[in-house]
Amino acid sequence: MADFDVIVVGAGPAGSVASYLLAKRGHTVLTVERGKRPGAKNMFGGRLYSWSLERIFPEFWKEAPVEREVTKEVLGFLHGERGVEIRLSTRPKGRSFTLLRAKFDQWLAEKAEDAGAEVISGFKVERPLIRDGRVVGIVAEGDEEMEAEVVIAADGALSFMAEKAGLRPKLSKEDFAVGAKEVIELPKEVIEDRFGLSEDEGAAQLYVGDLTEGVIGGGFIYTNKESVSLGVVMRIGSLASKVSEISTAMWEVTEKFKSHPMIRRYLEGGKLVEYSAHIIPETQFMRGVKLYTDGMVVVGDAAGFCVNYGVTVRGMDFAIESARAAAEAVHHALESGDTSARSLSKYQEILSSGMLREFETAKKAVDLMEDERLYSSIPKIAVETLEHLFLVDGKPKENLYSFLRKEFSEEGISLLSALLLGWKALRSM
Amino acid sequence: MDIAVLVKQSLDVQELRVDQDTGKIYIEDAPTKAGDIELNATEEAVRLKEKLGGKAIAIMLSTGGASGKRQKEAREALTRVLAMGLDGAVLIMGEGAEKGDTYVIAKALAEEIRDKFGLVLAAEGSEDNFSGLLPARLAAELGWPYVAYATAIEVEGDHVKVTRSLEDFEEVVRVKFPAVISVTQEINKPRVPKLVEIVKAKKKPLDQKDFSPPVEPKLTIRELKVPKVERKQIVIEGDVEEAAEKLIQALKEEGVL
Amino acid sequence: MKVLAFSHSMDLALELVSAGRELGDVSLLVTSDQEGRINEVKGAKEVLLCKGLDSGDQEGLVELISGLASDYEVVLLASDRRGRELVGQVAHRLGASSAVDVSSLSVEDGKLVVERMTFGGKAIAVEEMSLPAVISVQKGKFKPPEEGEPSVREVSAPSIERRVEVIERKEKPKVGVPLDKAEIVVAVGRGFRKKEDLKLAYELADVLGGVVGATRPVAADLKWMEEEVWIGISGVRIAPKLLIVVGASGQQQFAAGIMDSKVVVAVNTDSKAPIFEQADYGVVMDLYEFLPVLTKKLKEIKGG
Repeated sequence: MADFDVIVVGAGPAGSVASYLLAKRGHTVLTVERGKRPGAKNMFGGRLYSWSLERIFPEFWKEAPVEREVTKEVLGFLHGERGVEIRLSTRPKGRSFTLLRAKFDQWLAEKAEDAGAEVISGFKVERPLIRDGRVVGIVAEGDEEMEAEVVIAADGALSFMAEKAGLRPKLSKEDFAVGAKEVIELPKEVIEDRFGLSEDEGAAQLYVGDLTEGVIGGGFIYTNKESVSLGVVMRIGSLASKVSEISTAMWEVTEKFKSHPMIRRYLEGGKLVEYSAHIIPETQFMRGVKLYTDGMVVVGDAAGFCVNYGVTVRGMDFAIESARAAAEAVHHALESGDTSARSLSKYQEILSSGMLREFETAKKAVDLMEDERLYSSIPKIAVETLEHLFLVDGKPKENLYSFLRKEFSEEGISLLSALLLGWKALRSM
Repeated sequence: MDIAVLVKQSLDVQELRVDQDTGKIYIEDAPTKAGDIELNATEEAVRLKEKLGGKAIAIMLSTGGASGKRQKEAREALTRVLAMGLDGAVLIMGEGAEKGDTYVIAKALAEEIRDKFGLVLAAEGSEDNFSGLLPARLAAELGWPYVAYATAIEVEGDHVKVTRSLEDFEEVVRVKFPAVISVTQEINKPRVPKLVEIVKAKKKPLDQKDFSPPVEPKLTIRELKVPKVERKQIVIEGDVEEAAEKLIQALKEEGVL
Repeated sequence: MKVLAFSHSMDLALELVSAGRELGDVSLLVTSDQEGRINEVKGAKEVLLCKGLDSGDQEGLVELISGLASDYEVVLLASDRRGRELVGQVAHRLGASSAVDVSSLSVEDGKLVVERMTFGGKAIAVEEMSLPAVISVQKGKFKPPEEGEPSVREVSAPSIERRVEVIERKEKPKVGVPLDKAEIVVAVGRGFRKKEDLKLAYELADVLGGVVGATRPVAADLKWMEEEVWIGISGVRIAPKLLIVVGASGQQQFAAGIMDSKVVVAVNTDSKAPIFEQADYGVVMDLYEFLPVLTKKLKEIKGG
């Protein structure tokens, strides 16, 4: 007899949701988290689209530690000291919330615990325990073996579990982007004033421009209740050869972002309370990932259910939905006494009829964000065009069309390709 | 003979945030844990219990108040020490304990220990307050001998040989049971429990009791302040030689050279 | 107010007399092994000489001090290990309040008010203690008084059964000091161009009797030094008497880790570097020029 029906590796949103659902249905569940506490090691996903979690906990935001509901979306172009911000005020049907992972992940893990799962933090799982080509449990630090009927790998982007079970190829550093994040504390009223928010409303602001020096990436700001999360994402894995170069570059770009006149005014008087740098999976590498094998399924970031938009990352909603599908499949497998790959393939079936379609749409937007011109030429043209429109210096004004032609030709972009870029953008939305 | 290990639910001071400007100390936000040196005391208890042929029990007085969050953390901290090999735990919780006068706490703990244990092990100081007063007071309350700062403990029949570390020298003393001994971090290297031990620890007996202060406190905390750091920001001018000399002079006047 | 004081260390005992005088008349207990230094005691009202007790006898001291204390409102002990060991035991025997490592003390409305560091140095607790009170006083806070001859009164040693028997005592070998306990720290940053150049910092630390720590880039990224010496918000927080920061700009990460340092010196070529705002003394100079000269001059002083 196995030690547990299910061992879940990782207590992020995917791991905790899977643990919760399976424990609730009466299975014995052990959840092992590497961080000191659930959420301690997580940084990105400061924003949660609510649709998937709502299916499990209706109106969860009334109880969960969310920070603010996003009602202001801002896209910004930065060029030198100048910048343009496009601000959308909205109250969309599909709600989304800013949150602090340290608190939120802990809340979800407690839900799993209350449902009966054993959640153990501060413990590292080394690899899946494989016998006769089948996953039968885990090997924890210190070579300790623990058996389970089914293992759920929810161990994040770097998932050694998936890799060592042969579910995905070994990754190289080109497969990752790097992110740095700071949490800066500001009084509640100051945040609401500076970002134009009423109580509980939040803003999600994304910026691209020359701060990343042509590299795909950019900066983001999310408003929390009494702090803002600010950070930079850059696809520089392939550009730098040493870890030290990467982290120094991240630090410098973050500082540059923070000191831009348009960004600085949001942060003035704030207090830095947290800094962290992390690795973020690129979407491309996930083609070629298998979601299940005999005795194991992979969920969340570990399965690549994470979309990197270059500037920001969306993954929590997919992670939660994939965990729900996995829990469903695992429950059936346990009930039927057959936890083979064939039985667990139900996981993929559930996903195919639902989430995967939404996921593909989301990934299309990424193709647009792959265009490097978005991080160099476009911000410059946006800033200079608006400057041209608003500039009054008593001299005769060039007409807009010939100004634009000049701008685009300086950047080596034809008007036609600019239009194509715009069209691609529209299509991907 | 059974051993009691004193474990305090301490603030994790590494994670405690204080605000220099406003003077606010974010006590509620900081997590709590069993003190690091209490893990040494636990390790020593597990090692000694075989020789003494009894059980080793953690006694925790939760000083975090009675909130659900603190209660959960207290249990987690106890799970940690139970997983190291203790046989059970007593958790004493309730409003009032967090005000933490060692006079009151020693009286309350003595009731749990008298007639039940032959040896009490404690840390030389708690993680957050580090006064080391509690084991000393407990010894006095019980009327037992007290030896602090142990770096080695050996059982020899009806007494123990304790090596203790003082500032300039080491002392080896012989103490009769029953006794209270506090240990330092040098005494051992606490074992890291295995996963299965943590799972089992959650099932070990945990006796939760309500704390009610048996006596009035002798001490109250009037205020907690954040130490202010004000820097002089003096720029030392001159060429290399002059600057070095001026700096040395300034440091001498500060009394730090 | 009447104050009884005792320390195993005569030097600390003299500081206790000074601390006690803030409250009232001080009687200093002197044990047989300390008798030879009685004439150094100034400013106390009287010396209580116990010729029958050695300061190594902790049980005897608990008994003796607890017995004498009934005539006093406050008992002052030192904050060395043996002093602290006595505080709780004596206080409990007397039913008194207790506090250790006290940095200031005063009387308000019949209560003793003391201040002491808590939460790993992150906060100062102001505590109100009922009388009688037993406290240990932080080292180095009070200067021994220079005047006032005390009278000397002999007290007899307690006769009790000892349950703790000292069987051996030996000198401790000296060991290296960890960064967070070091009194003098030299912190190095990216201003050093290569790993080998760090020897300039080590030479400076050697002559000062200090240890070398590093900023995050030097320790965690460049791996020039062990990560254990990384000073900062997520590394080690230090609290030395003297910190010399060399070639570090003073990022907030780092700044949070050095807050508790008493005196901070910064050496950096960039006069706009934030480190200068976090320093008591700033030297705007190339470390490669300044450090060798500073080390040489310090050597001259220490050597002479």
